[in-house]
Amino acid sequence: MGPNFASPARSERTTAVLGVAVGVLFGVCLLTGLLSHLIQQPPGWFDWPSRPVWLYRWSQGLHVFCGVAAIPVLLAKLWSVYPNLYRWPPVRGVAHAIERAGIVPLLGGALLLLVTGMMNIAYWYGWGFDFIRTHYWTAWIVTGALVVHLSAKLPVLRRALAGRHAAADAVGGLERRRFLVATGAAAGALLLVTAGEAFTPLRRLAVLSPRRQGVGLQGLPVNKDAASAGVAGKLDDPGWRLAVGGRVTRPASLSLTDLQARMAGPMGHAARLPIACVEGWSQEAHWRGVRLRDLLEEAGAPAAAAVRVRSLQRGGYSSSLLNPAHARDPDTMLALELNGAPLHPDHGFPVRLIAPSNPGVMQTKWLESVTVQ
Amino acid sequence: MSDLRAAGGPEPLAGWRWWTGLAVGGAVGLVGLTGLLADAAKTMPVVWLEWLVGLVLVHDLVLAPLVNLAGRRLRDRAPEAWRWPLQLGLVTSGVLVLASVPVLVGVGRRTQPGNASVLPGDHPLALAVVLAVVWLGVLALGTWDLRRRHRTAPPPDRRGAGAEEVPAAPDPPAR
Repeated sequence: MGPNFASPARSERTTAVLGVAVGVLFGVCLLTGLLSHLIQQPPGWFDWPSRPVWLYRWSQGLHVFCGVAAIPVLLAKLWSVYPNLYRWPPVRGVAHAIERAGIVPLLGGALLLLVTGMMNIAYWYGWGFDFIRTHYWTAWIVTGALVVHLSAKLPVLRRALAGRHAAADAVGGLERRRFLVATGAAAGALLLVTAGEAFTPLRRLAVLSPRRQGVGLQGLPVNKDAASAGVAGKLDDPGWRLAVGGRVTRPASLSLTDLQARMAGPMGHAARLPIACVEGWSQEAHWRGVRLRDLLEEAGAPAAAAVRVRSLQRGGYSSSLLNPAHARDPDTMLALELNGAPLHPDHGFPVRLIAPSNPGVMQTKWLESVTVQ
Repeated sequence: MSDLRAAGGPEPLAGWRWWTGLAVGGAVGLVGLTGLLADAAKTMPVVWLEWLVGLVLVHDLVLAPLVNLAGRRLRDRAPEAWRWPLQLGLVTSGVLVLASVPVLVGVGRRTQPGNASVLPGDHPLALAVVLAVVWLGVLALGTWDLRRRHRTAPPPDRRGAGAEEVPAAPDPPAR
């Protein structure tokens, strides 16, 4: 005899409903995750638009918070099939052995994605391997295992979801519904106390999130401060200049005063734009600076050129490439001010990039050059 | 375990859908595995495998048996009116605690000691308050259900005579 697993809430229908929910949540995570990879390492055929302004913020918010919501749903799904672990005989033939072996990468990979994902957004890198690459390749492994699993379970899924379930409802229907509601309540409660780090209407409730909207210097969280980026000592240099070069007819070397003068003139621009971190938090802020498009025209850059901005920071996210759509967007700025005050060093003083619908890691801070490609 | 053996059994794995799924899924999974191994310096496949297998073992040998035990106890011991509120409370609290471990541990603060916007606030206190709210809800739901039961038909004994008594367990799902 094995352990006693009797529970009226366990049924094919419970498993089917939860399985579909896990599939949808992981599907959204896969698509938004791939999108984020494409945006940050764009292949030749891919051009990420700069509009709508909120697109990356929403896409990445969905990625992280569908992952968060998947925690209770996946655990509930696993609970519903847990007795099968003790099924005897363990395998009945080659195909069944393959199908059961496929559960290991599916389950282990899914747990790995969720656990390391939750740790990563809390800046706890307790594993040693590179998070981004491992998360990416594991996602493919889980996707493959999920396709195999689904092709094996499709008949069960159809049977469980089809028709009126008079018989199923008579046996444990209430308990099943209550179990599903409890799972949904857990997911809802978890979102309620975390999602406000991205979803502004819930910001006051985000007491268990790694970031809080409005909490940080100048009312905005700081992803990486000047000290840990290794630039703190370089920011007071009176000889600092922003080099504007590359494929331009009139290269320039601009001091902070030169940039401030441009901000005060017709090249000056102000806009509310979000910082949207890959780790899921995002927040809108009021930015003021010099419109990049105007600066490029002043330097005589070709109309449809990509632009690379480089930071005083070395290694890590020290530069980013703006495609023509982002470089020419009327809201893309070299920002000097945040929420009505000069940039704090941790927010990128003397000047940083801010562009619409751009991942936070590509909103390069502490700029030293703008190079037209 | 005879109930499991008799539980309809899994569908026979045959037909074009299964073999196509196996081929496509296998290929996609292999792309992932190849990518992971090709980038071994960064992905550290041995450490990765330890994490993957470790998480499966922690789930199958620790978490799932604990949850199963809690569920049994709840069904056997809790009064009918309190089962559902307690189930709601336990599931929600368990998930909130598990998901909060990374912010509760707070290791992330050490990555940027000067950055007060990383893990701001008192997460243990916040969790305590959130759990208190959850359990107030449990109390309210249970009290309401108890009163409703008393109003409709006072049961002769505290357990087993509720209007929503459920029959014995059905067969578990086929796998």
